[in-house]
Amino acid sequence: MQQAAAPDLAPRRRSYAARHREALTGLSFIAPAAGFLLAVMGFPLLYLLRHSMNAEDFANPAGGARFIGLGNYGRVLHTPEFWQSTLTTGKIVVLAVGLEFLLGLGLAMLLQRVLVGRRILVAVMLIPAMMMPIAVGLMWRYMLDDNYGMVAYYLNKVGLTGAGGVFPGSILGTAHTALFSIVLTDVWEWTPFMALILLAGLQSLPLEPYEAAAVDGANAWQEFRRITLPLLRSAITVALLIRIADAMRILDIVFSMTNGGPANATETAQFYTYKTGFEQFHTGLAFAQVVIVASVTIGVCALIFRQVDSDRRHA
Amino acid sequence: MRKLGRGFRWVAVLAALASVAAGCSSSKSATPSSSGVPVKPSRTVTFLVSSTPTVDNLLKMIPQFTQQTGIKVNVVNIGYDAMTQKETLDLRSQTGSYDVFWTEGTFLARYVGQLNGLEPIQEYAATQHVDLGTSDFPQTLLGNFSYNNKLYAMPFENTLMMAASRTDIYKGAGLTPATSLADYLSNVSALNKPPTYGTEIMGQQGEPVFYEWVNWLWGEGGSLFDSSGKPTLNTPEAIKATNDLVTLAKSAPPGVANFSWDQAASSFAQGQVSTAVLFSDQTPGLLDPSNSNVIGKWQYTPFPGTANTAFGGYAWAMNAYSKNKPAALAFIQWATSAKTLAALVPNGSSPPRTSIQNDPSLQAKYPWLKPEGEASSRAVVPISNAAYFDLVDALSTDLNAALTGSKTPEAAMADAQTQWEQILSSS
Repeated sequence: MQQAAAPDLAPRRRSYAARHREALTGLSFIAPAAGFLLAVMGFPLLYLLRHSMNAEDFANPAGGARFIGLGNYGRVLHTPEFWQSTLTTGKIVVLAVGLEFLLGLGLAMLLQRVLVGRRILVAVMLIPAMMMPIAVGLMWRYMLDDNYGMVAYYLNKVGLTGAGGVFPGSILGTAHTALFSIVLTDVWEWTPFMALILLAGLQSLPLEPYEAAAVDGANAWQEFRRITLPLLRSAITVALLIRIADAMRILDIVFSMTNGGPANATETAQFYTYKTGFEQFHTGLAFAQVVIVASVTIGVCALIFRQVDSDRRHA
Repeated sequence: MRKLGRGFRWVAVLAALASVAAGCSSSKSATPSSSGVPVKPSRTVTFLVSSTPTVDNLLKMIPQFTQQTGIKVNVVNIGYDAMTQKETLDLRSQTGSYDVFWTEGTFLARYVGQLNGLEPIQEYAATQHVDLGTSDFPQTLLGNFSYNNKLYAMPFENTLMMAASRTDIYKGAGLTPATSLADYLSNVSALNKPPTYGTEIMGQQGEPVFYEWVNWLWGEGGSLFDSSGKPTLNTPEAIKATNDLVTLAKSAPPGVANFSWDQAASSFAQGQVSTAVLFSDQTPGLLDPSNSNVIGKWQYTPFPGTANTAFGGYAWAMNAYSKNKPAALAFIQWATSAKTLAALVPNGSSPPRTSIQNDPSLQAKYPWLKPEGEASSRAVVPISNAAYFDLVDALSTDLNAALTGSKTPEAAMADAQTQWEQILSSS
């Protein structure tokens, strides 16, 4: 009886030429898409970078565009107003996104328990997120008006604002209350969006870990802490990334509610860039600011990704 | 086919000759329209503007212009900030997308000095044998829309900073509207009885607080620049003017540090304050029964004192890159004619023409005209510099800081001085 030949399980060695050919074939497949992406995304970015190195003023064509290397970057980084506006942006992002996450998670968990009319509830909840931020800002500006605003009236009634209140100054005319008003307006607009993403995440969680936990006698807090939060990590990452990137670009609400005041207390980095680019038309400086702020945003998002990835590997 | 082709060529040549002939004959035989400007009836003028009560009333009258001249008007009505940006972009790109647009005296350094984008309107009108009636406008006013001694825009709304006072409250208190800054401060303090406050101020950072403050600066004897063009913001007069504003804020409703011109006018119209300095283009709001609680209970007087006051009026300018200049000129001529401007007065406009301001019959019917006429002669554009927006931004932030108490007036003015010196040295 002839013995069957043992199958050759060792990976076949390919020649250098074959591997080279394969790589070239792969490259030729991705080349059109890569080229398209490069043209669509790369060109504007290169244009932005190039012009951020020019001393140029859009409203002054006679001044020309003179290459000054990193001169604009140096000037921006030595401007106290830029740092102040960046710090204000940071405060808004931390406070607004933090509150949106906590409220959104709570809302999502409540909604998960609602069995009847959930779709209608979600649709109604999303109305603020569908509104133009500038309209939202205007609406809240009038609602927080110290003299005629409905919200301001009730805040005054409960002793939070007004003469003798916890915050006796004007709501939008005092630095800390104006900043917090912008945070709350952002929270009002975007919490439902956060809740929607987290609700989608909650609905996709497997039931088995909860059944096992019930058998082991885990209480609700332990279930939440040990099962829900770890399993929800991907949805949380997505929600936080979207909101952080968006909140770092906050402009419209500031523009319509406070115009950056009082005394620049609510001026964000985007608002400062808008002023530099579209009011004063210092194009080169504005481009440099955009590059710096975008780099910070990308850096923050990359850090979150890295942290989440590290958590996942250690889990 | 070849025969047919030759035939087509002849038809084309004949058609071209006919169109040239028609063009020549129409240009020669075009009868001047009622506005006096010969124009082709099919032209469309694109008009870039931002809404104000008087502008809205003008827009309602545009069908009359079209009926008279055959010129259609494509109105692009957008927010103020967006409008100034579009104007700058259009002038820089030299596309001539807008034939006629809104300009202010403070914009001329950019629009003319840097972008060379406005047609010198008086010179152009002369080449077209059109009389814009400039002799009917105060010289100071024409000066506000001139650059290097050339007129670039025709005044439409004579937006002045007027002192508005509640006649019933003043009469009850036995007071008369102030004629000096000291009287004004004293009146405001005496009439501050919340919920009716003594006054309000436009305290929002940006142009509102700057325009409010500069009247006080000039009133206190100060100036923005010295004779050599150096900023003079850290002077005793400037500090005193800032102190005046801080004092006024103490007799004002909460939140004035965030008041823009619309909120200031609304506050007065609602009867919340007894005295206010308002831009006169807000008058229609004081006359509108659906908006005003003070109808028949208010009056204007010129800003106290004899010093200059800030002029915030706007005018219609012609784009130097417009492809419809004759039609654009016809529109500007109509929009700033005595007939059109007089028709806007009943709704509360501030007409820039002397003949309307000084018309006794109109003054009797519309009591705001006389004080506005008196105030016109000392209303001037505060800054004529291409760095206007940079300067206003820097100064207004410090003024706002003084108003909210985060800086003392002395520190605010010292900081503003430093910033202005930096801006001017780098511009």
